[in-house]
Amino acid sequence: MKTFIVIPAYNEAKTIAQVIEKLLNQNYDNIIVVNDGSSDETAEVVKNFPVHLINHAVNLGQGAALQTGNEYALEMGADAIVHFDADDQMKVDDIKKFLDGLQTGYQVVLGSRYLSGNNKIPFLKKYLIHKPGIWVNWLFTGLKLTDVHCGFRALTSSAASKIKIRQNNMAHASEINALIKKYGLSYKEVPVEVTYHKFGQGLRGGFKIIIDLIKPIFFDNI
Amino acid sequence: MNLVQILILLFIFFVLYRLVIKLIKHEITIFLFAVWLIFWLNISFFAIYPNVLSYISSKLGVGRGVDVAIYASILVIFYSIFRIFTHLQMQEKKISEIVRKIAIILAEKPKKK
Repeated sequence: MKTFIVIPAYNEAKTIAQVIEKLLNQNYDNIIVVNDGSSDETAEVVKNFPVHLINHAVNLGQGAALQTGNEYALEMGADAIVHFDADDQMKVDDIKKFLDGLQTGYQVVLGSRYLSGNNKIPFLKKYLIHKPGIWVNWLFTGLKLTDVHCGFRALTSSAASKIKIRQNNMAHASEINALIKKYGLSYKEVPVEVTYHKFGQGLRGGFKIIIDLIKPIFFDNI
Repeated sequence: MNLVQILILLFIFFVLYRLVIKLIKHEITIFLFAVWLIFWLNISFFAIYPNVLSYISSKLGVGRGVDVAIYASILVIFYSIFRIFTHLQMQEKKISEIVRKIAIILAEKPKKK
């Protein structure tokens, strides 16, 4: 199965090198880094590695970067596409669980930080952002997921060709879930481990994520 | 005619002057010029004949003529905001598509060893 790892990156010069090295060390050779208009040296760092580098001329958002990565991966003949973060919070070892899931017949495999009991998720993030997000997602998409905002996911090429991400920002997470439901794609969740180096979005950004989770419901047809 | 009516008409005259300049400079289309011209001429009509608004308000069961003008303005403003918002969404979508197409065309493939 020809697998491409798509890494959306925005100002991740400090961590992108470690991420790519870890992936290459585990023989994931087809790596696509989508540099989303970074103002730091992300692109320069990536050029030192034998990976595909796509540069957005301006910052569009993670959703847009993933869609770019998906389209490029499909052009390269991908059978499977894995979305992986550039901030070195995800574990490369977990990729195998996603690929196993695809090979057993699932079209989409979603990572869940809550299926693994080992993750130390910040309290506020867990109860003010993630938990409400789970309810909002279930209310609007009907998908019962334990983690609706994990950027770690894998798709078959057929699923990726159906899932056209139109939400440029963080709303893409709920858009993907809505499209899984819309196209009746088979999916499963797998436990993933994450290591938080910083709070991430911040509280304000976290509440924005909740709003972004609802947005596709109303603006999906625009 | 009172001072408020005169001030409104002077403002409208200024706006129409700017509109004509934009038309001469080809900064707006004739259609758009016509739309705004009709709009401002209507406003000036109601400014000169405010009793018409009072008549309309009595028919609608609204208190005063100026209340009708305010309610109508609010509706127009909200609709305009909606149109602007949806237009911005479309522009954002088009920009994203252009950025993506260019990015993929210029993608740097891994250098072969």
